Amino acid sequence: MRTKVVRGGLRLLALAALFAGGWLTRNIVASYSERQDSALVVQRDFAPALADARAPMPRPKVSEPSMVELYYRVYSLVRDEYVEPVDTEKLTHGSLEALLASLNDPRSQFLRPEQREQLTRALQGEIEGIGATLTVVNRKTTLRVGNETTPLEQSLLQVVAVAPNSPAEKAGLKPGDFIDAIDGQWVISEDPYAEVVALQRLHSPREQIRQAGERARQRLQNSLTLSEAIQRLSQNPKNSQEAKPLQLTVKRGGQTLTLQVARATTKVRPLEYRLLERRWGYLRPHLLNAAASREFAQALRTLKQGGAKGLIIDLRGVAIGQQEPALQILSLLATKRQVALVEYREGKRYKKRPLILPTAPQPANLPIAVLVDRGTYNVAELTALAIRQTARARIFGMPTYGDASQTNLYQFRDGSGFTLTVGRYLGIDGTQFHQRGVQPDERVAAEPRMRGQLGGDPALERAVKWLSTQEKKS
Amino acid sequence: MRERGRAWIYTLLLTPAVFLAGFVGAEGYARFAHSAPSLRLALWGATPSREPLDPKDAFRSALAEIEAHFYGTPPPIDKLTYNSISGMLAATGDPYTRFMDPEAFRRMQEDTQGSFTGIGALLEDAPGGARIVRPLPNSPAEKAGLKAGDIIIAVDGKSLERVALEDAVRLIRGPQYTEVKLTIRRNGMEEPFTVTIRRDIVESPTVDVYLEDSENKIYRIWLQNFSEKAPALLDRALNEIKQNGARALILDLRANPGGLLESSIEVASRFIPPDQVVVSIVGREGLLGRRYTLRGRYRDLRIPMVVLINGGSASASEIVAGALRDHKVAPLIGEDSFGKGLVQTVSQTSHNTAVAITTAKYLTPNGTDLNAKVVDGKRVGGLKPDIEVKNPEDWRMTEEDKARDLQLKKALEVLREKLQATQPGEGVLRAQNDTEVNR
Repeated sequence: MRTKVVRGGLRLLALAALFAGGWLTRNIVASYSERQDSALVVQRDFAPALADARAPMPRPKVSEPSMVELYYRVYSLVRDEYVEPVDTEKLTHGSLEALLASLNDPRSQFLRPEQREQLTRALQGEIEGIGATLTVVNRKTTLRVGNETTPLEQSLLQVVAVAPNSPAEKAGLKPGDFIDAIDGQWVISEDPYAEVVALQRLHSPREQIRQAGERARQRLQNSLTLSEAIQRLSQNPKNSQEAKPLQLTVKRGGQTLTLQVARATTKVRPLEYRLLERRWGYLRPHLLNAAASREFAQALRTLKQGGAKGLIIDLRGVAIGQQEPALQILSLLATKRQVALVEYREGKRYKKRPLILPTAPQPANLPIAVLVDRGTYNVAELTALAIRQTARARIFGMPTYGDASQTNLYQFRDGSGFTLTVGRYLGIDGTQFHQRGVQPDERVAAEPRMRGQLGGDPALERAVKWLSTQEKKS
Repeated sequence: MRERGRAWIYTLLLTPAVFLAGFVGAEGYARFAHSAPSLRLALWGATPSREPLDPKDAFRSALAEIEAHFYGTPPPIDKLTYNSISGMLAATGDPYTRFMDPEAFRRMQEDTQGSFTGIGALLEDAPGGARIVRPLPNSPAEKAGLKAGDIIIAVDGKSLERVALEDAVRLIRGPQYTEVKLTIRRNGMEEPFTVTIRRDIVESPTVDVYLEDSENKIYRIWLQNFSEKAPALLDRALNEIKQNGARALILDLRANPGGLLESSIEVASRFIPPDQVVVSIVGREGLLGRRYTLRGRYRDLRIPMVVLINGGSASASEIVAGALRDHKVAPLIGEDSFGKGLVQTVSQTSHNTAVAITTAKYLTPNGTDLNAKVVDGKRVGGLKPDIEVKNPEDWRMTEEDKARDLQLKKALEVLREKLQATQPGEGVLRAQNDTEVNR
């Protein structure tokens, strides 16, 4: 009897040991495989670059693993041997920032945790700082010194769009404005010594060179880098000392203006809509996020029930958006499931794949007028073009901004992350709009006095005129 | 027996199942645990806890994403890695902690191996090229007729317009007896001209002696660097002024970028009695060691002395100046010194690269940290002079510009006052056994 108990106990012990063995083995296996993939999460809201939106993202491998070893070796040396204790987070973030910066692409940037949170909040409609969407424009120009010109590369800070009711809008900042200085501090947009170099090549008088050198030195001394400038503009004041409005020196056309712009959180409503003249459904998403696409579907139902005979989709100044919600909106308008193309790189070759709606389209079956301007940016441009190419639609207004970058947002476990340009949007027929913008079918240059109001919005009036002709046809 | 055997067979049969159960259980638990933060987020709306980032994982995954998916053509993976490492080291805020890619590492090795040959001119950055501060006496540059103020705008036909001074120097240097063609722009001449100079081994003078006040016999010894020869040249200079009956001494360490630690110990030992602390070396874990003045080197001058420093006094200069001040041998006059009292360790890494890391710092005998820190974009720190005197910003350390050398004027003033306070004759440098100090 006793031996039986002992044997039974032994068996149980053996089983327990086996169970523990299995548990341990899994954890050991996992610790190896997790090393491959634990650090990075692709934000779900952003479309994976290659596969269909729903397919799992393949984990790419580094082509030269010894480079990762080198990186880690240097990291360990600094961490262990530097003369003072090191903030290792600073090391990691500093290296990732440099990694992304070396791509020389304004839309591929490392984001510190607070920057990534800012971006996430902006996508949810809470925009901090002056309330403008900013971008960096690389431009080749020439510098004129004496009778000679020399090539000059510039990286200019440009306003893409201003959010409705934002401090930027109240201060009169306009899409297309270049921000030259903040509180008198020059935003570094070019090599300040370019003039000195040119003067030297011309063997200009020594005094002239000296003066130019002195100017360059003073300019640089009181300056902000592009990322410092963007940070300052897209952050709320941290304390009462910083609370006073920023003084922006802005270049618009040939003019230089000075604007006082406050900084505060701007809450952007996802969508406004109404029925115009009891016949035209007017929809104005302020951004293209999940909330906007939900409200868009509801609004469309309401407008149709109210007897809408045509739709006006106002995408002017829509600069914030994500691909997935845009596709959701398109599925309510487009007649085809393939709405656009994306060009991407595979190794050294470029390939195209179609951008496919997540669900079968349920087209509204109404003529659609789309309103755009130069503040219509990125995903909004894509949306305008896709509506135009897959539905009975016409575009009114001015050419759009012209940024067709498809961008992924990646998030690390510590809250930091980065954006990466992974593709370029094209029209379904291969139309390029990068740097050209989407061209309207009917150009309307006049700015609205009262946006979305008949009698105060020339582009809207042209749209309504066209919709009336369509109504007669159908 | 049989029954028992069967039981064991069952157990054996169960083995894989139980093992698997353990495996699956662990997997399930891990998934649950892993999803916990987001669960919390959903239930209570709390911000997700921030787990620290594994640097290797983070770098690997970001690099892989870029290689696989970046739309543009990414730079080669080694360039991406080197840039990332440089960005990492820049985050220390210490410009001396730096990464050397294969090219930079190769150049560093060349620079430190053997004696260099060049044209023998002190150069400084100038718009469009490198300005000759002064050609060294008897150097190829002097023999070729180059003058202070000339700007070298091209080397062997290659324009220096956008070339850093450091790289310009590399272009000018080369093997002994080879020729280098320099394009020179000289003030007052319309067109630049070209000279061909034969490179030769350059004996850079390290010590210059000036009689600044003949009435009071005040001498200035300008120590220009801390090369291996500096201590012997200093001895020669001290003998010279002693023979001339010097009554006071200005040790000028301005524009002295430093050099060998050994030389700075030697130099300090001329002025400070033996077995006194010259400098402490402190690492992250604390004191690594102290260096003391050497025996048999002390000159026991017994004349008033001051030390001149400015923003160009760095490293070994600061060690000597700090030691002289802390041991109350001489007050410091001038401007804040540069602030570089750091020791770098160079470690070779894979792919023919290397990394220089600041692993220790120097403290003066009284424990003053020599290092400047960057606060709000400005360098703050270094040695503070006891008497602060600033020279005009465009002042140059040349004979011609001596009239505007306010620091020197102040030094003379201080020494004259001291001389007046002492009895005549008392301050004269006494004769001493020379062999003792010759190395």
